[in-house]
Amino acid sequence: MRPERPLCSPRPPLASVQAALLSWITGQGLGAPAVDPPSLIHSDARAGADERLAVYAHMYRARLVEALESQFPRLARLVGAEAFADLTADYVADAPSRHPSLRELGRALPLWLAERRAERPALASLAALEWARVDLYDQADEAAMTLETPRAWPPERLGELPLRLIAAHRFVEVAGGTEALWDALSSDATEVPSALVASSALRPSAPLLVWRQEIAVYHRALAPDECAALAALADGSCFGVICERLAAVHGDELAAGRAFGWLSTWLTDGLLVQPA
Amino acid sequence: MTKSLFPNLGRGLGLRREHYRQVVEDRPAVGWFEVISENFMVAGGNPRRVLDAVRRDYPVVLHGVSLSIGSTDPLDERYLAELDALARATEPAWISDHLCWGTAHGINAHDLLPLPYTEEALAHAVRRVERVQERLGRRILLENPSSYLVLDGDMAEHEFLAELARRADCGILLDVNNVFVSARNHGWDAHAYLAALPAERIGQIHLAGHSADGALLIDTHDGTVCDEVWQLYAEAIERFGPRSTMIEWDADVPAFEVLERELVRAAQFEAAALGKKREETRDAA
Repeated sequence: MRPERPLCSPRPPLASVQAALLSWITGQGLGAPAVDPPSLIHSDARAGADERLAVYAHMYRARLVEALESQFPRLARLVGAEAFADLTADYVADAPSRHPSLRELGRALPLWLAERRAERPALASLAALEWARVDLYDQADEAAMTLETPRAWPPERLGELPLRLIAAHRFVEVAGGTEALWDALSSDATEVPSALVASSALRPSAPLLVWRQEIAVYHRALAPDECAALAALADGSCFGVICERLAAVHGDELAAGRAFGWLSTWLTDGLLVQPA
Repeated sequence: MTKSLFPNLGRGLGLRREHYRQVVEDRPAVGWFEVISENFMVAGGNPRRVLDAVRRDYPVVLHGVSLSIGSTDPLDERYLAELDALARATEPAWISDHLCWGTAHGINAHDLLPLPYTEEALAHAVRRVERVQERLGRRILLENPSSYLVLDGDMAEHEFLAELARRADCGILLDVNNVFVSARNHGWDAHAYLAALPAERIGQIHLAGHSADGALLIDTHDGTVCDEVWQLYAEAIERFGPRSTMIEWDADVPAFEVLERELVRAAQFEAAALGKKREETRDAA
């Protein structure tokens, strides 16, 4: 059956057709509807216009749920399939995709959860950690400094050793207990750890360091002094500055031990850029 | 048989995450790989490492899903710049996308929505293809979409696609499964569809599985190629000659060996079609 367009009525312009269809499929209001989508579509014995449009609407929802589930598998596991689908629908209604790649779909989800699901802070924290891990997966590669560099550096000038964090790192401020929640929600988890969820809301927030080494993404909790030291390295500094900051708080002897300990850890973790 | 504007790379596969390690480490005997452009338009990390490794051993073609060539939204210049950068880094045999649209008012449905096949849409698409080809400095291929609805228009999809390819001087990625799915969903004649396409512009063929959802067939890419699609593929080869052919399998991705068996079937259908064509030519002479 042909669309119900009287012979004398002009065909709507392409832009109006597309706005009407996309609005119908996504549920987004795109200005005053100039066209009724079903009236544009051929119906036949196989399927009517509404049924045909519904295929696209269903695929739209399913595609976005699948994309977000792949980016936030633990969040999806925590809330359950049905609630995650509802959460996805609410999120994309507020923040529809405006980027060509689905890779960007989840970028705003942690903040959205913090605002729209404020009564469950564990969700936003878990999402922030999961997004940081997704976001680092395909960041630019950089040559990481190895132990050989400080070993070959003149000992009397070790304070001048340039230290700069690789770009593939993030500091994520999350509710306390988020790391444990992340661990507990691994793919082989058999039950949702409700006690962990409840307790994470009560504990003070804590910084996590998330970074990529080679092709694997890691995260770990940071003590406040190491967090401050690493933050100072984000734009580049040198080993001597780190030592001086520590010495001001802990005294020279303790500062030296701690600074060398950090340097060893940062090198092992591939966190520092190889100097030119 | 008409020579294509694009080289025949033989039989290839879509490069999927499930097979990254096997492809890079074992270097299976596959003619070439198609990669989804958007999955590799990133700064680095494992995707680009894998692509670089695969490219060292195989020809690669880029297949996009977000060009939105038929959209009335402005072309996304940032997307084109990133695609151009990926192409410069990868040196693909060609770049393809779909005859479709997916955005309106800046919102992306991440779908391959069919155009109304009107003169207005044709003129619009021609201008956009010309602009994209100018930006990328190369001829692109556009794939016929699978569809579940048809909008009021002036011509059939195959007429629109053929005319677009001629006017914009672009190539066609013929998805035989999509022809079959859309023909079933809309009552089209799949044979007439193939017959209307300009042979020289067909540079690549897609084959895939589909599934049924009520009265409609859905292009799910989650299974083996069905017998009717194989027959249609043989008809396409007989009509157009051998073309770079690949299997698309995106959901419930099986072991690599299953895909290799599908490629063996493609080779068998191609050989049979070409043999039949030779016999017909000999008889006619």
